[in-house]
Amino acid sequence: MLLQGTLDMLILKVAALGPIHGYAIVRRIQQISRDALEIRQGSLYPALYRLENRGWLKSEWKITEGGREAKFYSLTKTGKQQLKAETAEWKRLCDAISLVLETVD
Amino acid sequence: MKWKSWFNRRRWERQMDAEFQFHLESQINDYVEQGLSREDAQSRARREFGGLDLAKEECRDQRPFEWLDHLLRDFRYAARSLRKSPGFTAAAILTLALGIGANTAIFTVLHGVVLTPLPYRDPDRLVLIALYNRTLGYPTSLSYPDFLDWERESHSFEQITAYTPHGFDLTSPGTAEHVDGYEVSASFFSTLGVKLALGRGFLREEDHVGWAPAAVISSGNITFSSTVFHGSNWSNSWKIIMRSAPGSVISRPLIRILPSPGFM
Repeated sequence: MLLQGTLDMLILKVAALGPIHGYAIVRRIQQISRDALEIRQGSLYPALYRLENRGWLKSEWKITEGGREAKFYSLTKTGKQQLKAETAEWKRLCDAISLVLETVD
Repeated sequence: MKWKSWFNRRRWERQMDAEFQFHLESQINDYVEQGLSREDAQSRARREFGGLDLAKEECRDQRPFEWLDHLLRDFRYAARSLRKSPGFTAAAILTLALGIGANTAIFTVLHGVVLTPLPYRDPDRLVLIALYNRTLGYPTSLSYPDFLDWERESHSFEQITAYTPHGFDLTSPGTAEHVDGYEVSASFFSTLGVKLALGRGFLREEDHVGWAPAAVISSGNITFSSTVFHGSNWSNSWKIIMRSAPGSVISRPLIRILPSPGFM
């Protein structure tokens, strides 16, 4: 399962590692999270299109290792800034939640 | 770059289809490699992907300038509906026309009366002084000697001038005509700060009783009806004067003419 609003951040992070197509994004997130995070594939593409429309991702049609044509996404300059901002915000939120949860009576 | 996708919608759709197709096929291939039959792999991949059409529709919403498409679609729909009910359309257009017309009329009046500054020098320092009869409840005229007293005694004003409506009979040339005008004191134009287009303003001594009467005219219809002059036998210089100062007495430069016998 995936918290609402975190999908964009995960996509940006994976795309920051290098140009990557949609299917590989799903795979990569599952791999890295050791299958803890499962992305609804139907919601991945609208998210990708939205991020591209906002100028955080740019796309390019390229040949895959398997010799097929696929649309590869990579991070733009503003996308990098956005990722940085969202990561910082996420950490702040996690720390705050941890503080509350770890309070001893 | 972005706007290109709007002009080439079919290409954009093809690319989206190809992208989804690539995703599904990659998934199917992976499942086949894991040992599933191609048929099972296909149905599983489709099932896991979820609503394909819904996903596409959500992607379309993210297409650059998609709002322009929506706008055009709405516009076409509106045009079609209006064509189908001409009665409603006529009523709507009439309502709009009347509404806009009424607003324009009101604003035009407001603009002319309230917003546009008077065409005089320092209109904000110009005031109207009038006698007001409380018993009668309306403004009354001031006598000329009273005006002279005011002019002499008052120190609150730079200059005071007097005017009163006056009709004149123009007897020459041609048939006699009545024209509406004003009788004014000599300082009238200098108080308002209006420059005459031609000639000079009134002289101080022209206020005195017994002095030859002088007049200022414009081609407008406030002091004189302009039609008075058309087709009349004025000398050439007159025609030039009339042509050089069209418009009304208020907003346009005035011209001064020397009084001729029978003029006033």
